[in-house]
Amino acid sequence: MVVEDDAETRDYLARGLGEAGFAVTAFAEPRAAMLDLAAHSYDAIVLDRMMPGMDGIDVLKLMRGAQITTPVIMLTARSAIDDRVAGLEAGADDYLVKPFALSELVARLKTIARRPAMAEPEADLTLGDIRLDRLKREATRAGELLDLSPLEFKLLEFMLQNPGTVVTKTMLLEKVWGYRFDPKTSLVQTHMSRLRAKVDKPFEHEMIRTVRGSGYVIDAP
Amino acid sequence: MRRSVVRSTTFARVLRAFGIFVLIALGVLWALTLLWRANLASTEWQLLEAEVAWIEADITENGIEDFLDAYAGDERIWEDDFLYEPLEEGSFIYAFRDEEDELLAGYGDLYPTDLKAGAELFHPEIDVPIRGVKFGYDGGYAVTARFEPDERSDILAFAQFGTFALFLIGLPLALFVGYFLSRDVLRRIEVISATTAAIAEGDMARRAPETGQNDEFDRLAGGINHMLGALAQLNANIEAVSVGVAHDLKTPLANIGGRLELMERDAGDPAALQGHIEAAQDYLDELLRIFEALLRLGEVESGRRKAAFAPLDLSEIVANMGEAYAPVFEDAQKSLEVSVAPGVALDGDRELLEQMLSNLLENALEHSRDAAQVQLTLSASALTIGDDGPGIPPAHHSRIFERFYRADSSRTNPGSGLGLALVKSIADLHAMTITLDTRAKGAVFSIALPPSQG
Repeated sequence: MVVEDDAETRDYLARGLGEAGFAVTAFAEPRAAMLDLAAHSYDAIVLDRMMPGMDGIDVLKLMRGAQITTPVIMLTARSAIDDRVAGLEAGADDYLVKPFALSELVARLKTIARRPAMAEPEADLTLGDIRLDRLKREATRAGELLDLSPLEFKLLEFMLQNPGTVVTKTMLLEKVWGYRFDPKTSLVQTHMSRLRAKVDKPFEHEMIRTVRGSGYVIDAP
Repeated sequence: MRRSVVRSTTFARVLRAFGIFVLIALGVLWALTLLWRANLASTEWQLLEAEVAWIEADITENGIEDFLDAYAGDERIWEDDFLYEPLEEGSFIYAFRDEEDELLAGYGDLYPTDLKAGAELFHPEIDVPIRGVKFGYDGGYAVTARFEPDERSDILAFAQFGTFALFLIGLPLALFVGYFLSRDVLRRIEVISATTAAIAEGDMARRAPETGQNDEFDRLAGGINHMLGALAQLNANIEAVSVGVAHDLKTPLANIGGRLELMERDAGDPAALQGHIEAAQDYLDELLRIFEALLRLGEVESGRRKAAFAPLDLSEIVANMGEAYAPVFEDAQKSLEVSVAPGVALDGDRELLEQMLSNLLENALEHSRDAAQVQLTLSASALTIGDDGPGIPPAHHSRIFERFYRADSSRTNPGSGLGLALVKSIADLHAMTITLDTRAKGAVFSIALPPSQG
C-alpha cells in the first residue's frame, strides 16, 4: 500500500514498485487508506509524512492504536533528526528522506516485508555453506573459520539477515555503522570488497554480488 | 527641534523629578512649621498656666481687693493705649470682673468669648491674635491672656513664602534645566537616529559617530556600529555563498543538459543511452549532495539540533570512525594511524560529530600527498587530525573554513567546498574551537574540546 498525496510521486511509486514485483494499491487520502486497511491486509505500507490535513505520524499512531501491525516505511522531505525519532517512536519500521532512489525504497521494503516486526533474533544464521555464530562472533564457510574484523562480521551478519534481497549502500551505512550521512568516499565499497575477499574469493562460488547502481545481494550458490 | 525637545523623555523626566522634589520639599517645610508652631503653643500654655496659678493662689489667700490693691495700683482700668506695652514686652493682659460682669480691673474689651483660637481684641489698631484662659475666684472671674508672639506668625509667613518661592522659582528653573538637558541628549540621539535612518535607506557604509567620551551614547553608537559590521560581514558571506552556490550548481546542471542532448542524438543506440543516463544520474547525485550539505549547514547553524544533545562517549565514536576509515586509506595507498584516549565524554549530537569526523578524514584522504601518513588523535582535551604532507599554503589559511572556498582553485578535485565549512559549524555548535595548526609540518587540524561540563 502506498499513501502519498502528491500525484506525480504516487504514480512514480506505484509504477516503480509494480515493476519491482510488488502488488501496489495507492491512496492519495489517508482516511481512504485507513478504511481499506480495515478490510484488507498488506505486506507493507509506504506512508508519506506530510499530507494535507493529516500528519503521517498521526496516521501511523491511529494504525498502531487500531492494532494494525503492518510494517511501515515513512517518507519525508525533511531530514531533521527529531522528525525521524518521532516517526520511529510512532511505530515506523523505517524512515526514508526524499529524494531517494527507487531501488533504495524497493530494497528497504523487501527487508521489512520479509520478516515480521519484532522477530526474535536467532543465535545462528546460515545460508548455503556460510554459518554465522552470533554468540561466539564467529563465521565459517564450508567449515573453515573466516578471519573477519568486527565490522566485516557485522556487515556479513546484516547481509545474512536479508538473503536474496538487495541491500543498498545507504542501508548498510545506517544499519551496520549507524551513520546517517553520505560519505563521499567508498567507505562501504572498501569494507565490502574486503569482506568478499574473505568470504567469496577462496571459495568456488561467489555468494555476494554487486547490483549495479543499487547495492549488494547475498544468495545461496 | 523645540517641539521634539519638549516632547522628549528627558524633558518629561526632569519635570517629573522636579515635581517629586517640590512635593517632598513642601512636605518637609510644612511638617517642620507645624511642629515648631505646636512647640511654641505648648510653651505659651505653660506660661499662661503658671501666671494663672500664682494669681489664683494670691487671690485665694488675700482676696480680690487686696490682690488688685497690691498689683493694679491706682489705674485699675486700662485704656486702649495701655495695650502697646504688653504687645511689645510680651507681658500679660488681664480683665478682672465681679459677679455682675462689672469690670474691676484690667482691659475692658477682653472677654472670655475672645479666648477661642486666633481671636483678636476689639481694638482699632492692634490686630494680633491673643491666647488666654478664664478662671473664677470668690466674687467674680478673670481672664488672663497674652498676645501671640511674632515668631508664630513669622514661621507661618516663612512657610507660605517658601511654598510660593518653590513654585515661582523652581518651576521656571525646572523648565529651563529640562529644556537644555533634553536638547543635549536629543542632539546626540538624533545623530544616531539619522545614521540608522540613512542605513535603512540603503547607505550601508554609514556609521554612527563616537565622541570618544565612552559614555552611554558612545556605547550605543559602538554597539550599533558593531552590529552593522557583523551584518555587513554576514551580507558579504551570503553574497559569496550565493555566487558559490550558483557556480557549483551550474556545472552539474550544464552537464545534465549536455547529456540530455546526447540522449536525443543517440536515441537509437541503447548502449550509448544507458551511458548517458548513468552519467546524468551521477551529476544529479552531485547536485543533491550539494543541496544536502547546504541544508545540513543551515540546520547546524540554526542551532536547532542543540536541543537533542545527549551525553556521548567521544572515544568510542572516534575509534569506530578510525576503524571504518583505516581500510579506505589503505586502499588509497595511504595510512591512517588512530590513537584514542579512553573515556573522553561530552554532550553532543552523535550524528553531527560523526559527520564532522568523516568530513575531516575524507578531506585528509583527498588532499594529502601520495603514500601519506594521516594521524587521528583524541586526547582528553583535543582532537587532532593531520598528515605529513607539505601542508596548506599560508595564503589559504584564513579562508579554508569558508563555504565554497577551495584551496585548489582549479576546482578539479571532487568536493563541494562545503566539507570544512560544515566541520567548522558543527565544531562551533559543540563549543569546540577548530584551528589549522600553522606550526605543524603537514596540514594539521586541531579541535579543542569544550571544558568538560560539571
